[in-house]
Amino acid sequence: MEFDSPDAFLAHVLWTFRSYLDTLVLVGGFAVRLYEIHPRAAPAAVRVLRTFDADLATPSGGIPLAGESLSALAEAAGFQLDFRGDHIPAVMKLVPKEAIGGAVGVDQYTVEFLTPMTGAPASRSGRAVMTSDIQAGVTAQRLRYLDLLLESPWRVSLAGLSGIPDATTTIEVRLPHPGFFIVQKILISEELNRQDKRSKDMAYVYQVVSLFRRELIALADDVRDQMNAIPAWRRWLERFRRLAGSLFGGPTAPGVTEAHTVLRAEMAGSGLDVPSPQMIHAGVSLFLKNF
Amino acid sequence: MREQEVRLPAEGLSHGLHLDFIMSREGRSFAVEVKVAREFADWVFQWMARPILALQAAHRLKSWEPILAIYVDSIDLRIVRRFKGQIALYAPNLWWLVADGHGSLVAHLPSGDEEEIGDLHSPRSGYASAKLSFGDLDQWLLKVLLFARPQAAGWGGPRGPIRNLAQLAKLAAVSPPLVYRWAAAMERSDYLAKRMGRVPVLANLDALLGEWRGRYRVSDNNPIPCSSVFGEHADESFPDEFLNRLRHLSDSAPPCALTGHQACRLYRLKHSDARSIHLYYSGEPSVLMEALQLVRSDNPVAPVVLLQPRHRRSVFGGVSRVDDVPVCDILQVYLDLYHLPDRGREQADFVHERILTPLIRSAVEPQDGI
Repeated sequence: MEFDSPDAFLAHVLWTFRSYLDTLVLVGGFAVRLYEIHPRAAPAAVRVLRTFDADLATPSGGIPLAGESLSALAEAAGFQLDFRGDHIPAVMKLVPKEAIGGAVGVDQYTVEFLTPMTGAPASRSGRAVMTSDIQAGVTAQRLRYLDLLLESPWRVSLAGLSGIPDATTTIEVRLPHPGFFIVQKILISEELNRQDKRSKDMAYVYQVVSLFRRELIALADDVRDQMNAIPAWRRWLERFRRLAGSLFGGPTAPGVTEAHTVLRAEMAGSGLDVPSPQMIHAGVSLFLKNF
Repeated sequence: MREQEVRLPAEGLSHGLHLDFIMSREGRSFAVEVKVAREFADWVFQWMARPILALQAAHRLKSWEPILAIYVDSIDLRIVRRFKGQIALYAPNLWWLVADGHGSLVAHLPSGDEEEIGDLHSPRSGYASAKLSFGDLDQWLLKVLLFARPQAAGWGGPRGPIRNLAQLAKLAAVSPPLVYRWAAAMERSDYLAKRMGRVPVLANLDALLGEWRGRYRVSDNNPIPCSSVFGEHADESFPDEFLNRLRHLSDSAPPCALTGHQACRLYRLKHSDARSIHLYYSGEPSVLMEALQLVRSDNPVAPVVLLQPRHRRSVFGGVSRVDDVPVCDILQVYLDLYHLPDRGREQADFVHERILTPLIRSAVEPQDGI
């Protein structure tokens, strides 16, 4: 199973799980890729970061069967379950069969299910509870603040992608509300188990703000109102404001520097202008100032 | 002007507090002290202490904002710079202006800072005999006289009949003595004639425009090169997107007006595909930059250049809204284009041919019914 491009891989994943697409929300880097083709997005001036991980978010409490199970669909589509780590249940990824046993590379295509972290983050014995079962034999990694990505999702059709099989162009997939996407990326920046991904997350924040630059105030207002309506989310909103100030408070703030470093590396040799720290700070501030 | 020779009662002072006059402008009240000296030398600073104290007292008592106006025979720029430093140190809230007999002006006023220095080597025989300096006032009066007729295109400033200099003064909202002095300088330069002894009519307009072009560069304005916050200025759609942001600026945004190539697009006079954007602004640029999603750029050919006008009144006085975007008058656009490197001269010639040539032809004739 070989893919010509990350887009082709994504189309294959979404085609595989098409009977569950009313429940799942595509999050992570591929969500940013699809924001690019959303009708409400402005043309991207910065190349969207490449990703090889398809992250599918599910509500907590598991997913009811919709015909074939997730594991059966994955098996039939050439994926194999790959359990890693010593968590109980183990962290599960879906990888193309030929990749099993290989090194965990940065450019390896994978699928992962994610679910909101509800309840205690650790068991009574003190062991971290990192995963939960979403169907028989299928686990999802628990992630804090993921609830936000399931709220008021947007839909996008794959018809805007080129180089994917014709049959998959009819697929519609749910994406996080872009405002919640930014808020969640900033909130999880504090999580210890996300530090390796934080720089890329900061770059995603700038890219999403850039794509929806024509309606930043409306997006921020929408998110703020929804978060203010739920007591637990109000606390998250306070935390978000604090973190946003420290990450993007100026052109030399850590979030700005990390985003700039990632974008510079990604765009090296492309001939495109790399956004300066001043641009990143000013751009993200256009969204953050509304909170 | 509201009141001349103002005296405020003050305890312990038999004659009270004396001020030269009180004026109102845009809802604000100003107390003004006027001083006249032959020379503008360091010793003048000592002599200014009393009027400054009087203005500050008036501000405390009546909340009138203080303006110190100084008229000298000839401005010495070195002394002006020292004067600026002294005022900034001892009376930072003071508005002030220094004018001289050659038409030079240095000012720190609520409308902005101005520095227009004429030819310091010209004879000290007063403004009336001086040549046209193409300062803010000169430019403004020229534009009003040229565009005031009803059919003139590309103008958002005042319109109306001008049958004598007093009517020009009224229409341009400039005090008559200044208009008479300007007219004298214009006549000496052979750019103004008077029909029937009183009706002002522009003359030799091609030569006048040539002199104006020679004396002016768009770079004379204080430029801030900018790029878009999201780097989208490379996109085909950026000029349209930028114009859309201009359309939707809030009422609290600082005044601004488009010039150069993009102004020509709005005037339906686009001749080249040049994409540079030039925008005049007034006030605090950071507010406008945020609203327009811009950041300062080190790029010498930045896609957007904000311009703080050297001649504020002349630039903003003729602004009109075209397709809901504030745009400079067509003469300003022409002058700004003329020296722009991205096919500016070609575009300026096109504007001249389409708009200015017919306008000039009609301008050398007296206005309707005269």
